[in-house]
Amino acid sequence: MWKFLVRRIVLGLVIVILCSLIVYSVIRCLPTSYMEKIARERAAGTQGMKSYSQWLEELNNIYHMDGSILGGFYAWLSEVAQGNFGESWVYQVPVVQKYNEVIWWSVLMNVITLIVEIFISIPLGIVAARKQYSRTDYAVTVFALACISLPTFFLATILKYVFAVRLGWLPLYGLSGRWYQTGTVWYKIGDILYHLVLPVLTLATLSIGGLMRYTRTNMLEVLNADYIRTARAKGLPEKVVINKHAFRNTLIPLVSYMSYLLPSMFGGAMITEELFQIPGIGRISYQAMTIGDIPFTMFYTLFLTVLTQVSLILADIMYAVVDPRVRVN
Amino acid sequence: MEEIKKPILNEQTAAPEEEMKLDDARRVKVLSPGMLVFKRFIRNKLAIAGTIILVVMFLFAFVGPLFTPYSIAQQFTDTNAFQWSEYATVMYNNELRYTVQAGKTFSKADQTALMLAFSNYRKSHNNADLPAGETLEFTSGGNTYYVETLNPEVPSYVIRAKEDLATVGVGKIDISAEEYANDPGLEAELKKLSVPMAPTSGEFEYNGKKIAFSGNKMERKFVMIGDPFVLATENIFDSVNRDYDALAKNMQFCVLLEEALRDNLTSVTFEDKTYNLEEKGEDLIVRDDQGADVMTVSELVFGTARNGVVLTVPFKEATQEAVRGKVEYFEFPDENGNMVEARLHTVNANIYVETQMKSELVRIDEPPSREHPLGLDHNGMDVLTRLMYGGRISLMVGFVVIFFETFIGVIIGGISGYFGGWVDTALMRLVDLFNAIPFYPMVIIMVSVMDAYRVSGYARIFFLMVVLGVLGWTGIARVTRGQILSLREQDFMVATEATGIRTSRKIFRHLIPNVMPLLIVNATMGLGGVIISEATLGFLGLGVKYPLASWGSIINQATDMYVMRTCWWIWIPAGCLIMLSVLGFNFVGDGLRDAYDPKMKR
Repeated sequence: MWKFLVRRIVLGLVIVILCSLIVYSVIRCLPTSYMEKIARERAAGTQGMKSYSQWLEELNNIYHMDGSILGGFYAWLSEVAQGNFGESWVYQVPVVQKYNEVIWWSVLMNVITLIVEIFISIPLGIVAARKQYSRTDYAVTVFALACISLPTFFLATILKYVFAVRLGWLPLYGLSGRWYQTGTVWYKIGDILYHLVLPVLTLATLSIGGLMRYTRTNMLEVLNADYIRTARAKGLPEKVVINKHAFRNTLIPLVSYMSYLLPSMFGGAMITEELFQIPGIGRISYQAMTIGDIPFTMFYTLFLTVLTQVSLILADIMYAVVDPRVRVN
Repeated sequence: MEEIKKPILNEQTAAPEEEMKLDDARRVKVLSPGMLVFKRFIRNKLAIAGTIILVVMFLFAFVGPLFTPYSIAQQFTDTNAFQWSEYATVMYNNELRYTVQAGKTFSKADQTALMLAFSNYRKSHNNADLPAGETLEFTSGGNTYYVETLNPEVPSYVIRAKEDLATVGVGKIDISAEEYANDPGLEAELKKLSVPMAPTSGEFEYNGKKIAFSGNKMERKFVMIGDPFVLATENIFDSVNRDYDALAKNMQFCVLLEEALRDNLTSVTFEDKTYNLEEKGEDLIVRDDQGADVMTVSELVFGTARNGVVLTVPFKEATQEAVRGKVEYFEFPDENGNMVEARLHTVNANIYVETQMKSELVRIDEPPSREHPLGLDHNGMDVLTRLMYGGRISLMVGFVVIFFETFIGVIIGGISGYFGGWVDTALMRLVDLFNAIPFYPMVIIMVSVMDAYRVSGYARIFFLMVVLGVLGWTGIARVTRGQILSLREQDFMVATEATGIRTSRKIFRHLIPNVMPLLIVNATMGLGGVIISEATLGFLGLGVKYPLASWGSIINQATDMYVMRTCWWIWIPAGCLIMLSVLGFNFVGDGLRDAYDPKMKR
């Protein structure tokens, strides 16, 4: 087990580095005007006797933009190894600081979404599995497929149109209302939650389908197992059969499924945040990416790939924790 | 009739069955595997619904454009649209305008001094203006001026100056004012005062003019208050055409008109010509004796807002009337005597006269009509037509990308699964690597690179397909590898080994056909995902670019708050089409999976 874990982590590290290299080489193709802008500012200012081209050369040197892509990547990597992620070009603050500022909004939103999602989809999945091929099952399947088929942006726009424009019940976008600054702590919390209703609704609707189908499939498999038949045969009430024998065994794949959600938990929801103008990590990094902010984008993708690898390793560990049979192999 | 027929039919069909033996070959209906799958598929209601949706979508996207009379980027304009457009501007003048007699000057500094004198007067007289007939004295630049109210209603003033007339010493008379240089009457008057015993200061009248003098016994200075040489008024003297410009700038004539306005005269005579005056409220219209328009006198300042427009007197008359009466709509006769409808549009102190002008308008955001069943979009294009062409691109992108993904996935997964060993390990690590690349960030950066290099049109769509394909093949590779790994262990593969057939034949005749069902199911389910990805990019404005359309880029217009709020017909149909087709693919994929292997995990 430990040997496997060490090998898995080393492999994860290699994958993360190669991933960053790929992203770095693509983003270097983006012509960014950041260097030119700063060089022009400094040349125009009174900070020295250097000309625009001298500044440009120096800045390119500092940011490793003058050498080859591999050289630049190596320089970036060695900086990262020392814990230095650089300063964002768009936001003009250290990348980690900006990240720390915005990520908690995304996490808050995603945690609420996860709770809503679990409370809706797991019961529905179990109901669908218990009454396989019934009308309920069909309804749940169609609902799940419809949720999967909805594009995020369309669902978000429709929700905004119905609840914000037509009915006027919920705010159109943003994270806080007009009186946020003057309100009490409770008012502030309420205000933020009120503003999060639509984004959470969007995200939850989109993710419900997947989890529901996953629950249903696994529940079906468990319900066909021999020990369920045994449990029924020995005359246990159906409630006990479902809740104690079947559901607990369904939890194994569900727990591993949860660990796959880790990247989406911290990675932000780009389109939803963009549409509802929530200053989370998705929106902030989307804007950085389209402009070609290399330090920020590199950090964001690094963060995401590390999260993905961690979630994969975690899923393996979870399997071992939840199911003792895995540990043996 | 029918009631009788039915039993007979039943008997006929039932009869052969009775004769049939239990082991009759006809009894055991042998269905081919394909037929079995088809039958199972047909029985699935959801799959049928999905198939119907997809067929409708394909007809809509690929056949629909043949029937629409419009093309993809046809912009609909309204050439006969009338639009209010500025014709002239009108403003109330509330500043004094100065008309100075030719040859004299009244500088800016003098004007300021006058203003100062007025404000001082107001301060000491409870904000009252200078009443008619009273004179106010002020100095500017060493000169003394007298201002006198001509008409307090406008208001208008005339300004006179104190002029040096003569210096008289003992036995010496020196007249400096040119117009009196050879005036014997004045000389006689002055002579009386040229003796030392005469008073040293005082004033007298000569020819109706006040002459004041001061000095000592030896020398006296004579000054007189001259004729008005400046007219300061808030009225504007606006000549009809260039010929009368000089007249409109003539101070004497303007004063005459101001007086006529004050005294309600109907005609004035100036330089042997008679001018008829018509008073309209506070304005005055001046015509010559033939009745032709000469000029207007009004507080309103007119300016043209359109090239080549001459503002005629009838227009000004009508506008003045409308402005004073605060009417919004009015009519005025144009050069040909036709009545033109006009509108007053007031912005702060400026009043714009607008007339309807024929102009070409793009018919944006037009709601659905018979001509355009889904209305026109924000660029004035037919939404339905664009949906059809956009569907072509969206579905085509979906198919090409999924084909591309399957192609790479089958090759890599197949090699990996078939050969195993270090090849398998290496390829699976490659799959891991590609799987770890964050999808949306990577696509967004790549598309931004395309934006930066201005890749557009079909080349852009092509690159988009490649990007989506390259980032999406890992799932299919994994599935293929897993399937081939399990197939490799089965007996029929052992049999191929035993018969010693070629490797390529083993792969293509025996392995691939067995992977095919799984691939078809995966591709169908994956199509929905690709369509959503492409639409998302289109929505973010990174996908297909105008004038080409895709469903996503059509919804992109809803990022405009106005379109989202008011024009549902632009973005809701496109969203529904995306949703329906993805749903269709998912239904069909689900149905296919069930049909191929009912025991397979759902």
